Amino acid sequence: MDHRWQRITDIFNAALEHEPARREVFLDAQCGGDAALRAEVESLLAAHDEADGFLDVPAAVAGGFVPTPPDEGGDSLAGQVIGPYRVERELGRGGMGVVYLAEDTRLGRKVAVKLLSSIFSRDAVRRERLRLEARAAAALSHPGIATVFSLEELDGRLCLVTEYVRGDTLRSEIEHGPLSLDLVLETGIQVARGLAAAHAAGVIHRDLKPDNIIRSRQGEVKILDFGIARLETPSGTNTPPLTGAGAVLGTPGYMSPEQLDGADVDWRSDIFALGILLFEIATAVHPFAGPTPESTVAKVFAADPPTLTSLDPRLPEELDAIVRKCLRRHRTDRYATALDVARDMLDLREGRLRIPSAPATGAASGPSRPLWWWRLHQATAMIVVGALVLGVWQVHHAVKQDWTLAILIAYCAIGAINGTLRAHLWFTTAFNPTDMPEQFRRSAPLLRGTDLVVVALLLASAAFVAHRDILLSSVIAAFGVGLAVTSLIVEPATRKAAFPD
Amino acid sequence: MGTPPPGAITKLLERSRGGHAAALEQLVPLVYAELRRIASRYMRRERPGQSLQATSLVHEAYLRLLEDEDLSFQNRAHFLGIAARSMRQILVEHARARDAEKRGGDRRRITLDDAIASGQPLDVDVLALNEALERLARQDAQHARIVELRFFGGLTNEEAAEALGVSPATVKRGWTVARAWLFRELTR
Repeated sequence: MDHRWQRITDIFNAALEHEPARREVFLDAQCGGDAALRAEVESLLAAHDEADGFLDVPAAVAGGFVPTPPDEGGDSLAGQVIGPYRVERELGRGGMGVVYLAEDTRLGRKVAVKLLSSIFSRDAVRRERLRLEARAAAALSHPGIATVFSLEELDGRLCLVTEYVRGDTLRSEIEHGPLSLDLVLETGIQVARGLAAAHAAGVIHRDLKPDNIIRSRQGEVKILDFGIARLETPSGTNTPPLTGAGAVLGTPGYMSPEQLDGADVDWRSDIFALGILLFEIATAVHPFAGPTPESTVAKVFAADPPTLTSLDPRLPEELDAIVRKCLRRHRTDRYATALDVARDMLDLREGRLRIPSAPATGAASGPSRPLWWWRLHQATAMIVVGALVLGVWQVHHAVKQDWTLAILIAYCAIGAINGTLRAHLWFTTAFNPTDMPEQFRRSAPLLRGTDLVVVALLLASAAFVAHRDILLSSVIAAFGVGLAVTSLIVEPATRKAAFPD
Repeated sequence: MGTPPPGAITKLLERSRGGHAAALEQLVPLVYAELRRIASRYMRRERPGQSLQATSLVHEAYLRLLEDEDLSFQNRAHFLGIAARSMRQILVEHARARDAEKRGGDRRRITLDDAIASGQPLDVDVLALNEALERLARQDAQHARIVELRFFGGLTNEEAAEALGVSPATVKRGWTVARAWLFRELTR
């Protein structure tokens, strides 16, 4: 084999492993000054990019010697011409019909043609739904949304013609595993912005999921299939819902609680779906997955999703916070707009995010309030016990007896144990919250014990110095009593509030 | 041509793999004949058995010719490779026949079943592809073979890898290059 040919093919294959944007640089490095070599590789790369579907179907199938693989109902149009569109191959099947890749022979461009199966075309309700979809989506022009070109009736069938996006769906991407954090954020930002544009135009997607989002080869993320959109009329009243009584539109697993209830849906259902989407691309796991659709639905209503960090400790807490805020059961608790989600993810990416923007109802987004009180109590106790070392020392200094020395030493030792225990518990709540019950069980007796010993020592000190320095004595005694009260009364209360086991 | 006695094909395969030209000469017509038989059956809309849902003629020929025989991996791969080449021949002949029909006057005598001749035209200009493939074979025989196996034979990456004795990754890379090269040639 020709040596030069070998080089060309090696560089060609290696170049394909780089993103299109980086190929230039790569080719610079590989080809050096050899312009002819570079031209050869580049023309091959160009051919590769253009050759979509070329030779993909084995000759015997394409030539009609063998029937195409049996499809589940509906006749395949591959190879046929419908109106001005020449159908190349099937792209997929959805609930409403089949989508084909076709070429618009008038304009010479590739399009995606969604054909309603004939049953749908005959059904007036479904025709109306598709017409609304087209109007709604045609009003949108945004890089994050696949453009709708036209709605036509061809050969007796209703067809929606949209932009063809060459690439993989997010679903197929996560079949290989979760996306990298960078990619999760990048994807999330683009999808959120696309959603925001649609929402601003009054269009709700209602069926957002990884299956209808595609990443193009250029890295653009586009939302497809604004399939069951509902256009809000300018006057603010909604057009009558096209569902029959009790019918629920959307895909179980991505529907928000209010959608499942059949209640009035608004743009915040899309935000819920966005939360699920983010969860899935970050972990390749569905947050509410259950063995049956019914159990999934039950989880959406009742269960909190697992934290992102429990599935992958490398994921930042802030992302978990963003996702949780999208997934709040009450839509008033979610993000107000998709743009806010995009902004928070952008901030996270730039390293500016600490806590996601405050939710509408003002619930604490940091540690819950009872936990905060508990921590305050712990801190105060530690500081007070620590500070009182001075007091006890002062007593010894004043009285200078063996007993007071003994008290001082004992106080330091017991106080140290006490402080260490509290610090340990604090540490556990911060980093190992699930371990708290166990740690409590172990340390509670010792904590209570050392508390009481400390109090006893303080009162003893106070007694020793009472005849010498009544002020010092009173102060120490007061603190001692205070500590006793908090240990016996206040601490159990804060503990119960913060850790309602 | 009747079906060969059981075990015959395996013997032929083994011997042709061993380099026996004579064995290959016997084998190819057998495969070729079977493929044409199957193709014409499809064209006449006779479904050759409910259980067969072959999307590739080559696989069906394989099943029919070898239903009683248990081929080793290498023999199977070798068979598929031969079948792929036969498929290419059949399709090229088919295309030439259609061309001759279109041109009307120049009716060369080509013996084909009428059924095959009535098949649909392919999107790809098979004759042009065939010529381009010959040119590619002069540049890189293995790449051309890969195209033959995958496009004409309908083999998967893994099967083509078996037939060629290389890794599926090599096949995949070769396929990518060859495809781009052919596309460029055909669209010049």
